[in-house]
Amino acid sequence: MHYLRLIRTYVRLSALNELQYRANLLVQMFNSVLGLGIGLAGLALVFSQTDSLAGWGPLELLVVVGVHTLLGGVIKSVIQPNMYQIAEGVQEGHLDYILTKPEDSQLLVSITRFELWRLVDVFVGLGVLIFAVTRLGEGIGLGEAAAFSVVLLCGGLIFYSFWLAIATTSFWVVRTWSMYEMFDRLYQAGRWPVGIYPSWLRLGLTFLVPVAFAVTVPAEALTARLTPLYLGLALGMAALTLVATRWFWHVGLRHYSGASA
Amino acid sequence: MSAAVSVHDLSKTYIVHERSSGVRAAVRGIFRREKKEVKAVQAINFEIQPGEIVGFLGPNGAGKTTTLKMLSGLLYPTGGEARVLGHLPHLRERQYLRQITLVTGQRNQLIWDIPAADSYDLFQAIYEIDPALYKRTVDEFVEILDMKDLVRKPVRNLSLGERMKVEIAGSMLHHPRVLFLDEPTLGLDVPMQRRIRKFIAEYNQREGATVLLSSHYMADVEALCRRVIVIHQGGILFDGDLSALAARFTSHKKVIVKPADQSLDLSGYGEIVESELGSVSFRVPKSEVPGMTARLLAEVPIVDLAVEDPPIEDVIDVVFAKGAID
Amino acid sequence: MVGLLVESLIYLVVWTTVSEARGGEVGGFSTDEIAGYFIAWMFVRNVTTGWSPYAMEWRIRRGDFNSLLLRPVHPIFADTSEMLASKAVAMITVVPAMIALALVFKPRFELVPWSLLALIPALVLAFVLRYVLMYVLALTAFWTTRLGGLFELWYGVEFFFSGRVAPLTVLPEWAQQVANLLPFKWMFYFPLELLLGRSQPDEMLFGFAMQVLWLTVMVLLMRFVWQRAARRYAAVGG
Repeated sequence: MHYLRLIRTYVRLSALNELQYRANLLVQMFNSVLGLGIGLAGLALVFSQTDSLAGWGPLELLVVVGVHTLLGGVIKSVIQPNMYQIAEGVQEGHLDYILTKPEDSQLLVSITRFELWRLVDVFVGLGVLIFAVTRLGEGIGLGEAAAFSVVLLCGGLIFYSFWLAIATTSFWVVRTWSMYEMFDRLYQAGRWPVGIYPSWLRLGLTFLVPVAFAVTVPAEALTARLTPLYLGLALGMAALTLVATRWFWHVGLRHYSGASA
Repeated sequence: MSAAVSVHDLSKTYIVHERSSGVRAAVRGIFRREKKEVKAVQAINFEIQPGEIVGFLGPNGAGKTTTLKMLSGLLYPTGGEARVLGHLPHLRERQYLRQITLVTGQRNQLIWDIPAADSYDLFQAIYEIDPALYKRTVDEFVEILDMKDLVRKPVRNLSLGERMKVEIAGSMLHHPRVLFLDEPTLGLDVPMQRRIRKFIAEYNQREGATVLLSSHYMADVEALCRRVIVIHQGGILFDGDLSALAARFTSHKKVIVKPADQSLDLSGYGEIVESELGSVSFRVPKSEVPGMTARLLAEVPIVDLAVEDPPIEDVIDVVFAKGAID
Repeated sequence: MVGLLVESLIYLVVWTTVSEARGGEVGGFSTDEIAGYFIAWMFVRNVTTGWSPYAMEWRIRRGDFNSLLLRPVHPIFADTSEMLASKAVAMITVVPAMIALALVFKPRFELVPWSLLALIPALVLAFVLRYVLMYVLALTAFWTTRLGGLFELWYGVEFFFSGRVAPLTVLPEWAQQVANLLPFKWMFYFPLELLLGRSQPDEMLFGFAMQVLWLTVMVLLMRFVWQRAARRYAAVGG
């Protein structure tokens, strides 16, 4: 299909380009290992004091770390680079070139860049997940694996939608950078299961919403905590945020094109 | 044959938030912002036939870029209608966008870190160009523009002129029928400007593409366009042949004389506008040119003498100073 | 700055949860006291942090290199007023956030007058100490372009040994010993304890002594690295 071909071309080009910079791979590996080390040390610290954190045991929390790292790799390789470029494109006018192409603008701005080496985190996260899940004893069946994949995909899509919404504000606001930075930092909250926050805080802090669906819910899928309710919610949220963000993107485009309100 | 571009009462009005200086105004600005209407383009009309190369002239802020943007679908018109190849540009129909291209001199669209050839592959994917045709087109363009080595280097390693070459080639790979060129030769040296102009001219001849060119460089316009549309303060000041522009707006010619004796005072022969490097330039009313040159040649030992139309820049300046055609 | 708020909130929630799970205490802090720790954390963190090493490095590179070579030391405090101003602005958000969190989590801490007086010089020394250390780190830019790894490592170590992730008393014994030997404790945990009124007078004096000691070490190190950097710059060229 045409879209797949397009995405494949972009990915191939970015990857070919990144392959030139092999040193970046080493740096990324170093950073990934360091990040994992810090995360694990933090976990060790917590579990030197207690056996369970809000009902999550050490191996289960390790699952959370695994999902957080894996998704972090996806976000840093596929989502963030493109979102940064959107703000730049809007402000420098490069967006004009996107808009005169016979292709959906949201698609084009979302796939232009792909930072290959950041995928190291995906493998690291996957490694941690496999380690933790195999040691959890019960193992996971096909159903759980499927549910995990589904909610992880939903989580990724929800995160993408939030990021795109922030990028879309660059049509109106010049200082998008601080929002980017803020959202980036907020991802750190995902290292711990969202359940530790008092419920009112969970609802009140909208930033926790994408993090919850992207990290905690998939982790729940692998630790036998996922309820059909949350599975449904994940699917629903993904659909809702995708639609809402696409609508918002077009509102931004109309503004950029000087359409009368 | 229906027109390629048909513009009828096209208008674009911006609402700009204004703020006068001073603290009081700044505070007031938080609560209520003053709006001002800027009429960038006011009810302009013109038609362009397929295959024409039309130059858009005008000072900054005249409305040239706004018009081009409306025609390429980047801006919604506030009033009137524009049709290009039968489509309404602002609908951004895929069928329409496949047939046009936009080139802006100041901004690049090729990806910075990778060779142009790779970006070209991207364009092939986006425009869904038939592979055989694509290969032929790339080979052709590389040949014509002498880009064999250039397309293999990352774009950031190319000089400005080389970059423009690969950019223009890239933007035409899909054989667009309408080209919107906004300052395409900006910042290029003269040989490169000529190269680019030649490329455009040949493409126009070969494919019968319609070209809308907006440029500050009169050389671009003179070299490529027979027809010019002069835009001033959002309206069309002149729409016709370039030569007619000069004839219409000036009643003078330029006479350039190189006297044998450079110390001579020639001010008695006419209005001197320039005098340097042994060359004296006169501004002479058209009707007086034969008489004045005859006298000069008879009375003063002359090394060289030339009669020229005033440079188009001067013409344009006059046009804008006058402000209106009557 | 939002990162600051978020980070302290995360660890506040994590450690109060742990404390609850243990029956109301962790590392010598009761649940309320832990809440107080992380609320005061925001204040101390805002005051003691300067530019990131990346920003530092950029500033150094941007500076006038010739004057750098001539003077014994880079006018390190030249941009200080700008930074102080931004800190003041950040406080406008931090203080209300602290109050809001206090209302919610009901922290407990003691306001000890002499401790609070000692806090002021402690904060200043902590700031300067961290600044100089960052500067030395940033100077390594003259030798390597791959600064990212080094900075991240530094951040990682600071994360644990300064009391940022948890009060130092939560760390295992061996780690606490290591923390005493590293400068990070004196850049953050020491003033934080003073603010919470958890220091004894002798601990306070020891803390000041360590701050001064480390500051001396750091300044000497900075001088040393500086000379090397200037030499390298001259060798490598403009």
